[in-house]
Amino acid sequence: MDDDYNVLSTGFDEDDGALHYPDDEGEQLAVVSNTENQIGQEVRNALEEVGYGTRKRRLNDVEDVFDKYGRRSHPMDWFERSETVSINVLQNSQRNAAKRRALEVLEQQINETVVEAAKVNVRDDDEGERDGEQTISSLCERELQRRYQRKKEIMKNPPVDGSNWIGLWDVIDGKRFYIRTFRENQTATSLVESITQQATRSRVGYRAFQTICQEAENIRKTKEANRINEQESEFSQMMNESLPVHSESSLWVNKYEAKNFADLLSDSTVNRNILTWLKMWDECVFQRKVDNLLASLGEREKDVLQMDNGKIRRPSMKMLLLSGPAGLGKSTLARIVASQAGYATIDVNASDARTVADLNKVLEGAVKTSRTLDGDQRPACLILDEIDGTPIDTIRHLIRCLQATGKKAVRRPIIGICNNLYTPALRDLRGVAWCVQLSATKQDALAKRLEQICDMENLRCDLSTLRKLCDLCANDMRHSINTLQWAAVASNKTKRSITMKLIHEVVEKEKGGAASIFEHWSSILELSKHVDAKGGIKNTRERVFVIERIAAEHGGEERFVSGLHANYMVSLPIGVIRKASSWFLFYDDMQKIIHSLQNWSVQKYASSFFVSLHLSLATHARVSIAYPQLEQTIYQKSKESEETISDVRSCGHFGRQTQRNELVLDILPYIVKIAQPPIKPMNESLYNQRELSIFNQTVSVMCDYGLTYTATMIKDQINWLFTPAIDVLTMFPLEEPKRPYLANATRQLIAHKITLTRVRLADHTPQQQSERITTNTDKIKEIIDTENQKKKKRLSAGAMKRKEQGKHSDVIFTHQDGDSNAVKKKVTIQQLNSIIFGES
Amino acid sequence: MALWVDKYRPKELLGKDGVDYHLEQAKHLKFLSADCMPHLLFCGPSGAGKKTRIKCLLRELYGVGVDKTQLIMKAFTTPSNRKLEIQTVSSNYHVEMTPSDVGIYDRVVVQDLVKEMAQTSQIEASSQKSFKVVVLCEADSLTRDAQHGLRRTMEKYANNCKIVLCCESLSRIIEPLQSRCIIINVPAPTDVEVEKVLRKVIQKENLNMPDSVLQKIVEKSEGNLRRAILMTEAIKMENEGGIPANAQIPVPEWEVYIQETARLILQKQTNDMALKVRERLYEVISRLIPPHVIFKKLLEYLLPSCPSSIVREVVSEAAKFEHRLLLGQKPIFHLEAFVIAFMEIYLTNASKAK
Repeated sequence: MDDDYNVLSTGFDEDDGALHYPDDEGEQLAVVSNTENQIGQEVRNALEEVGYGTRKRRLNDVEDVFDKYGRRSHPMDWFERSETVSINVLQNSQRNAAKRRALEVLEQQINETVVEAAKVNVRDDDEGERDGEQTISSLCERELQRRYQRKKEIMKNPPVDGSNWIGLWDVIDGKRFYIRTFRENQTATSLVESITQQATRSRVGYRAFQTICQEAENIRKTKEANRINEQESEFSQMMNESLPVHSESSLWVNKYEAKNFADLLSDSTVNRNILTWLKMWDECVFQRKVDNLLASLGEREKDVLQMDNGKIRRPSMKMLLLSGPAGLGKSTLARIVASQAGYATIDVNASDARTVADLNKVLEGAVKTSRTLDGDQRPACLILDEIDGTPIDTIRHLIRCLQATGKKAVRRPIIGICNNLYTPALRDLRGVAWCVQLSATKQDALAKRLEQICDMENLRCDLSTLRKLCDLCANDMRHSINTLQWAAVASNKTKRSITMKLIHEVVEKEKGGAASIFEHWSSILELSKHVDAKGGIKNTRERVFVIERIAAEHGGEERFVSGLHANYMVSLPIGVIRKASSWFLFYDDMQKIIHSLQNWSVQKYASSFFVSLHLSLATHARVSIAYPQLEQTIYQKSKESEETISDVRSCGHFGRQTQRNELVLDILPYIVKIAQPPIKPMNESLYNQRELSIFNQTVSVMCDYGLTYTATMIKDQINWLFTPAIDVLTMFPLEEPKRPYLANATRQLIAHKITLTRVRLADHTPQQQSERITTNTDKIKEIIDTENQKKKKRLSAGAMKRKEQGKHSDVIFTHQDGDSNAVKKKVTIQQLNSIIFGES
Repeated sequence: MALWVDKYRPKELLGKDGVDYHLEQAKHLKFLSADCMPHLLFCGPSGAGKKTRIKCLLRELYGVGVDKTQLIMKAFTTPSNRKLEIQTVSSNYHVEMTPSDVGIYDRVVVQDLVKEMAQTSQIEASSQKSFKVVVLCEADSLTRDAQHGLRRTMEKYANNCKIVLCCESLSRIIEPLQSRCIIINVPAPTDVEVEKVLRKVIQKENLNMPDSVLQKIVEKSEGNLRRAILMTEAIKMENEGGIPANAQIPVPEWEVYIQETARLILQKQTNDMALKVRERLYEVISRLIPPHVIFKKLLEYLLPSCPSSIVREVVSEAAKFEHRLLLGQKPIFHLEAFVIAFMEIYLTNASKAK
């Protein structure tokens, strides 16, 4: 009876049967059989395998294929795989594995004798006609064909992608299923080896007997070793009989990782754009024109995706910066897109050292050179994973490399991946790279994918539960698959199907979900966040437990405490608030100890702060939580104030001798008043004696403290403001401010005067000068005097030079000096030349 | 024609341009400078004339050369490899700096910069004194570590370098440092002394100032001579055509602002008000007003409106919170805690009275 296996016509080229020898390289000859009276058929099968006997193919790799089908499938029809058939088959085959091994030994022995016979037969039958064909290339062709036809996969329906398939009837419950054949990547060496061997055999003929014997011996040995292994594993499997079939060592996250472009769950437009960007490198990398590609771009993409016009045309953005929350599949996306575009990926992540030197090495090796000499012929694409942790020096170096042109230019695409695009370290990189922010995975897609995984793993789970799971994991792909696997383990242990409750249990065990910081704030300040299943408030112990967990999560986080501080004034009696406010002091003390002494041992008491805050403040009332923005702005403001003060202290002559507190508390508030005297804006020369003295006093005071007024545009209007901005520093939003105000014109006048004084300050020591300035006319005279002196000096120097050269001239010429000291005199160009350059 | 504060600053310890008060002390200082000078520790309230005396002393030691100062930004590296800069004002003979400008890294300043300066000897040893002077301002805000760092430097390099510390309160200078220095207490001038100085200034400026205004200035300045002179100048600038007898004494706006805040606190003791007050406190802090000054002023404005029964409690609370403030690092927590504590005390008292 042929019940145990199906014999079907393969429909393939029959040539390959001619010189078959037993299956190679550790590939198991798994036989599907469940009865003992199979020996004869086994022998026949073996004979078939070596190409003797009927030219029929046997379903022999079911077990193998089943194990691996998940990895070899086409993305479009993987869901059509059958599992019911295979499991039965598998179990049967496992049970009989030991028996089969014994059979196989026998089979081997028969093989040896058969091969001997076969050799004779071959020589007798085929040598005449075949001789001409036995070239290496034909052998190679056949060998390749043989190899590529061997892999199969079982499906319920014929594959849709047009690959080869064989139809079969299932032996046990009579269903029809299909085996698809696959191409398999074999290493080149073994191929060559086997071809050589075949060639030797067919050419040398008789001598091949020894080769074949040896080979048979080898195979026997490997089979023996395999058998021992298998027995051991079978034994251990029997020990853990209770364990389910799919309790696997590999994580599902890796197992069901997207394998090609169509598998990706992220937004297809984004995927396509990224692929387009990579294809744009083709011109540089593969010397392939990309104009068609560019022409097909949409309007929006055209803005970003442009080619530069260097000698080797590359995209204008040399780097792609992918960003998005964790577990989105960013790394997978980058890898798949790169390999789709024909690149080999080089992955650099946080586990590698990332100093400038390291980066340089990687860049040199991967990106700047055009050829790769190793076995992988594909050009490299650099993927900088977890780039947000990179030191800023490295980032700067990277930017320099990206911007380099000519010989040092980057010739391969670089993809950076980060979680937070707005990390300070990446600020400069954002300007250079094409930033793509991936949005969270769509829940529908994710839930569907989870369902497919459930199908494959033979789990019972409905879609709504999976949706809930996605919710709990905040649509984090990696997290949700991990959780699902975790839940599957739990469900197998407790013999339950995966339900809502189980998922909840698992998630609760793992982590409190990814609640936002706002939720944590309100769970400290509100009782309504601590409701149990019946709608009542949990008891204190449980609440404290929850708060402690939150505290652990936000331990030393400044922002979290700031937020609490910003929101803790709930509507409670002031006495309660007082108690709470003293807890902030406790926290502050603790932080001081931690920061100034670097003594982290007190950190463990932080939770008591959060707990007591909760116990004293939490009410049923809703607290509207606001983000602590005030503190941020105040921080900014005090930074600005500090800058102002240090400006004052570094400019003026007196300012530098004064301490900060003196300036802030006493001097600056009064200077703002003193520097704005009530004088009318008019021409300086029109001031009377007293006004003039006030004016001069103002100017000199402002000079001493390095102040001036500068023109600033505010709402299309020019205003003259203090620089440094001491008015901002000292003026408060009072209820009824009573301040002097100086007209813009006067300010401008003063500013002008200050500039003049400063110019002179450079020439004179302050003492001399402060005594001299008394009136305005004096000042002007003085300025003119000094200017004249300077000019004379300059001129006399020039005259000296000319004297040295033996030339003399009485013409004074000035250039763009704005001064009318020059003497006018008619001079011809020739004369001028002779004056300037000497008689020639 | 500088600010009057700078213009009429005494230039020498004794003599025509000498200091106007604490004359006995000035004599001592002159005596010290003539002999081998020890390390000095000037302490006294703001505006009493500590820095003026230090300047005079330096001039006494080295002559007018100390006036030729230049600003140098000195760079140093912290143990955590942060590069920081500190501003120093130095002449050929002395260096002046405020280590507390760099916050908790003052220890490094003391250990590196001061020590380095102390180790190198005076360049022009022949001309003047054999030592140079390092002036450290705001010594009371030096951290403990920095103060301990000074101890050995002061002993070891005493021949090369004399250290002059300048602080407001002795209480935050550790004992070992105090014992290494001659402590020069510069108390605030009395009202009579302030008036004397002001009259001198007015006379030199040919100013007509009514006595009533002068008295008011003396009163408002609270012994802070710097402020008194600044007030005088500000009044003169504001009232161009001569100062009326009822002229308003200009007060710095931050004080007015704190006063307004105190009024708000007394007005209503609710959570909303506390929030409002918080905003105002933030505002003051952001303008770099030192928090302990805010505390002092706030208390000053709050106390007069308190019934005598709660004064004791309020003051003790204020003291407690100010102390914690010095221990802690976020002033807003402490200021706000005080405000809320005051509100509660005030409120319970009011309800009791009813």
